[in-house]
Amino acid sequence: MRSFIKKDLLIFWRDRKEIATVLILPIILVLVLNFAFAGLFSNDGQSSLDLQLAVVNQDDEAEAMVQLNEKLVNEASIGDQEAKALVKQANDVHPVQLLFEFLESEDLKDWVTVHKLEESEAVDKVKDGDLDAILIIPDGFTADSLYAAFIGGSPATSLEYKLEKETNNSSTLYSIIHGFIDHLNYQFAIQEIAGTSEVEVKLPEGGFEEIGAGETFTMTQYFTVTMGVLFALFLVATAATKTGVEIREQVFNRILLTNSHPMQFLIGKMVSTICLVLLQIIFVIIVSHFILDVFPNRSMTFWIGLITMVLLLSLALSGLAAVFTAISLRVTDIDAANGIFMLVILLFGIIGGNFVPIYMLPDWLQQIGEWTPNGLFLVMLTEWIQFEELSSIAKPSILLTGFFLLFTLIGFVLFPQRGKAK
Amino acid sequence: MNSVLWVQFCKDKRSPLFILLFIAGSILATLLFAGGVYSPTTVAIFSEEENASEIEKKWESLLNVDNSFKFEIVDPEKARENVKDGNMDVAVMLMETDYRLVATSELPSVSYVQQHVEKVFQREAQISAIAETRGEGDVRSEIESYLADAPFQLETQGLDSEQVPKYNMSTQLLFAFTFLISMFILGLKVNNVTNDKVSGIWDRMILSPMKKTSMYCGYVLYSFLITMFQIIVVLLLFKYVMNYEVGDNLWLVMMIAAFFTFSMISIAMLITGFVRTPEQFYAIYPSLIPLIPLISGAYMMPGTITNPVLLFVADLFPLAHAMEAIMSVIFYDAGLQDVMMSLLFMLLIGVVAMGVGINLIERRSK
Repeated sequence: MRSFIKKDLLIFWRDRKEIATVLILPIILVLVLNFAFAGLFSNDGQSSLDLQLAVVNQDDEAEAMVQLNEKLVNEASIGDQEAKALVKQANDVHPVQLLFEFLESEDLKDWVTVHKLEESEAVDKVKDGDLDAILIIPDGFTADSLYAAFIGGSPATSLEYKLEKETNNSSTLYSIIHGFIDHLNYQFAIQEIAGTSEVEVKLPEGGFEEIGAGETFTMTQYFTVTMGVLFALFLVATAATKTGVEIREQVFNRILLTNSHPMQFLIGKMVSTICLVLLQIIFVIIVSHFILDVFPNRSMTFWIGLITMVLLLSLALSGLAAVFTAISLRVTDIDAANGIFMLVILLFGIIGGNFVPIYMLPDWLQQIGEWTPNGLFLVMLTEWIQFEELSSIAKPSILLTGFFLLFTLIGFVLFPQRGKAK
Repeated sequence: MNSVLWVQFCKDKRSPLFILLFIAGSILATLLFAGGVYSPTTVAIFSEEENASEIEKKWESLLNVDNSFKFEIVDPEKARENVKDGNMDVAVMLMETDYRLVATSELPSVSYVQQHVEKVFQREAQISAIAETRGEGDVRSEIESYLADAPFQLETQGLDSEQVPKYNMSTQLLFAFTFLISMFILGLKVNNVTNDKVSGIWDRMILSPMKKTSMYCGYVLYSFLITMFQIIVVLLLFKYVMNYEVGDNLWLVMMIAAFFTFSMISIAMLITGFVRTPEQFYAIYPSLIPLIPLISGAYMMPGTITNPVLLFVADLFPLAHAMEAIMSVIFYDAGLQDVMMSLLFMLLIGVVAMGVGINLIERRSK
């Protein structure tokens, strides 16, 4: 028995390059993903968003009041006195100034940089990729908008938001500006309808209700766990493809001659898979923990639980390796088999939530996803990281053990009978 | 060369399942993920007040105003359970005039939901305050009709034209997944070199009068043809059957795909140069490939990745160039002249990787 396990581990040891890839790549990936996403989405205000907006102001606010007066008198045929009163009222509102104040406000200044430029210069800079978009305040914007506000109807002039390509940055800028315009309009609507802006409003409190006093599940933890598991899945396929080497190099036939029980071959594969998966996931978790401090200040119980779960996962995955090995021994075209193992692994990876967060998938796929060993492991670990409650992980643990037994059984049944191995 | 090509084809013809599965896989992946991009995030709402169902109904219609979120009434326990299990990022507990967000994690979607919910509740508070002071009339519909003709307007335009350049994420994902699967197919086909080496076919070919060049050409050409077959089948299917937006200039898109395929084959050849057996290739290649679209930003809106180191690494692989070129052809009507730079880059990557790769393979065999 021991010699079989030794043989399988030796096969891996011969390909140290391969082991190194499987150990180091996921760590690189965790780092890459962290750089790419964590900065973008983190809630601690250190956003990596860097929005460059050019504002071309062609509107002259001083002249706007004169224009408004003329427009009110000429087009809406309002009496001179009345028009003057409206203009006086309008003098308190400076939409362009409000817009600039908003864009340069404390909240936005960390990630929006406003450049005041001429149109042609701005267009050139956008084309060079220095700026994300241009906001043009056309001549007569203030006058036309205020005219529309007093008289009703749509304004003759509107702000122009110009962009070269729709990118993340340009759409974020758009929604920022659009949000402001929306708010402005709403305030005008309220004022118009209420007749006054002095309405006592009982604003909602809002706020959060934290579920349980659990720890938060961070993106970094998510990446670390999923990448570790994804590469463990790849390892399973690798362990099975090694059967191809053994058939080719007649190792398998020689084993048959030794009169050892054929199941020992399968058990050797399973034990070596368990060892490698354990090594791999724990290595990824520990190294990422030291580089990125993934699980800060956790108790000993947490770590023991974590390692137990990894052990359970490695058991289930070793069962999968047994199935793959048994299939490899049955088929004639081992290459096609290897390709199909890879497809199965990719499929497990996708629906188990190792490639994309699981909630991005349609509901029915999520349901199936929880029935893959890796998906189940992810669900279990999410709960453990947050709550550290034994009761919540008992059921998935049993299921994982069930997977192990089921896969092993299938592997044993599929294992070719005497003389049937190709 | 022809005989090498033919023998590869015969192998696939004998067991076509593999290629067919991969083609089906790329279609399925695109449908699953590209379809999901625009479907709004579902957020659970529930209330634990006495007149819970009334409150839920009222806020459900008020919260579901645009397409970004879909608010659904859920049982309180189930909502909490779902959030706790990580099946949902956030749920909203409703009260008569107030709300609480139920969340466990610091995922980005929570703050988006928060902004939306806060806006709706604030506006409702203002509306009910006005209604109270005035005591008559339908304030909400008055505000709505006022906003339909709002005094301040914002228009989007392209730089040079009136038309706004529209970006379609599903099209980008279509290409991302198609190329991801192509990378697998071409890699496995290039791997036939190591396969034939370990089975001794390679040595027999060397003894035959065939030239080394035509041997390599056979392998490269076959993986090129089979990959192009997959790409073209998927593209035609999505253009004519599913009616996806893949642009009018299909020939140019296919040409870019061809350059990409060649370039990626070279990279697969380079990896083949590093390994000795097909099994090693199986271990290394599939773990490298999923990384490429990630760092090339193929799954995300352009401009999401800003880290200069990442951008540099992405530029070393052909996928970033291919995606950029194809997207500019489809959405910004770029011509051959505009994508020339990307094509040349891919060609350069291809030539260098192929040169180094074949060199490595040749050194190995000594």
